Amino acid sequence: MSGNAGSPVDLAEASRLAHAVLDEVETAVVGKRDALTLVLCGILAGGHVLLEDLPGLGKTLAARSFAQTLGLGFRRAQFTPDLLPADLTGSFIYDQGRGEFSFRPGPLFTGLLLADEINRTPPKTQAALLEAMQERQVSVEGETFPLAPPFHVLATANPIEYEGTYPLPEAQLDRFLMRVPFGYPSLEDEWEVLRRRMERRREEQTLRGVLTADELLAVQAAVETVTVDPSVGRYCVALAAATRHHRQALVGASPRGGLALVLVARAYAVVAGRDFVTPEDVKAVAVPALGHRITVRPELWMSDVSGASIVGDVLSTTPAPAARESARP
Amino acid sequence: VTDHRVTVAACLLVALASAVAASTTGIERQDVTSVTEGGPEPREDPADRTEEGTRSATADDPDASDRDRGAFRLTLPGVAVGLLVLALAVLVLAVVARIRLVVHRRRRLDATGLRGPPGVPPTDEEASEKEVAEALEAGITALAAGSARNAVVAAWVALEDAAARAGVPGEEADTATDLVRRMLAAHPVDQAALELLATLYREARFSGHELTERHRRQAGRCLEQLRHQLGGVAR
Repeated sequence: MSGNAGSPVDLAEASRLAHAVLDEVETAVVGKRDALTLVLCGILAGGHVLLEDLPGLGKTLAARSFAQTLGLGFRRAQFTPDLLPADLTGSFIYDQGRGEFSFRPGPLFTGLLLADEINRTPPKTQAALLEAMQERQVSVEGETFPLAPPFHVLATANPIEYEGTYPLPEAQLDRFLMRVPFGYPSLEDEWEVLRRRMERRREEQTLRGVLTADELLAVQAAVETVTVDPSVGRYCVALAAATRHHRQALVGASPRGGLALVLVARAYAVVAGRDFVTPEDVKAVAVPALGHRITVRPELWMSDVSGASIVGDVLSTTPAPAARESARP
Repeated sequence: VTDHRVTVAACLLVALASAVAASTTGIERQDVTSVTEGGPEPREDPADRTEEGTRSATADDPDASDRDRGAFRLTLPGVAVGLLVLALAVLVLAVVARIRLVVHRRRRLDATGLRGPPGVPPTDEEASEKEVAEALEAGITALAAGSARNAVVAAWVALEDAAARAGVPGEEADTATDLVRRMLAAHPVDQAALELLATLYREARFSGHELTERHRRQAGRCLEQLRHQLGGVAR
């Protein structure tokens, strides 16, 4: 929070920068504009994002690309079954020269942490990560170290392989602002991936930094100024509440879900170049913002019902803000 | 959901009835043919033949009786009659479904209050066309009054009214974008004008900044354009 962080960015500029970031990331991650937009919205809204899909769809590449374009420090932690909390947070090491213990920070002390295959590590280490995500600080041996903003976690999880995994319980999934699926590219896009790799003549690709960490903070501050009409806010609350009463849901979205919906919708509005949130924005981000917060009834586990399908259902039945109730002076 | 169940049940019933009709006509034809088959055979008592032709014929020829009583052997005229009955049934069903749809749509319109004054059902084309034009006209009038923000919202309300009268009622869960999509699917109206009006409405309804006379004029142009088109396509 130093240097030119004081220079505020207006919303038009924030929108332009967001598009510049997306364009740059898209040179590395082909044909995933929608998913990338959602991930960027999660970061601009100040949250952490869970990327969930099969291996090889570009999740890690997307995370690294965002780190480069957003000018953030990047660390990657591969979550293995034997990973310990201290491996993430860091620990005190005895410094012989000075004759005292000094703290050696772990991979958590960075701008953007890629937590790869987060469901492969036991709950103890997961809890350490999620606590750091929530509190934005790390406690080691009674001493607390704050994590300097911007600090964001992009975690990946493989939804198919369950052998030797520790699925995150809903209470912990709730800490993620959004869960974004990636999905397969179209055949044309897939060929484009191959073509670009051959053109590049090497494996790794480096992206231009579009923002600095300070500019990212300024854009995040600009997102905070977006107008949310009370009717749109109530619409978010109604959507979150409706998931609780859905007959296929055992547990619906918490109030934190409704809050996430508003926060992400604001960032989405900025990316779309507006300084106000519309019900369309809310609808566009509802599935990634709410889907992972819903527990489906156990008797429906073998069916097609998922958190996403329940949110889809709720979206098609919950009354959206109408034109007629808006009598303004 | 119950509506669907009723329709499916009616479908099954009619299908069953027509199948029975088809098979019985087939059997009748079978009986007649068996009489004519029995005809040329020599008889001891010719008087018996006329009254109880069927019985005597089957009595004389055990093979024929098996054919007649046992399997439903369908003959060509029998099938034709059956198909005719089936076609009629389908026609009746289609008419019933159409009536149900119209009634349902009208009831929903009444429920959402998007329809014009009750007692003036837009049954014939001219009335409906006139209503659509009237709704848009009302919007153009409303545009002139009040603040630019309220005027633009009023223009959108007028468009929603017009859409409902043109057979595209608004759903509760609809956003402006959803309504635009549905209207474009139903009528060949100008996409650009419709989307511009929706954008103006969203800005007027949900933004915090001031709206200007320019917004008002733009909304007016959109409505004029749509009145031109939607007034012409209303059913």
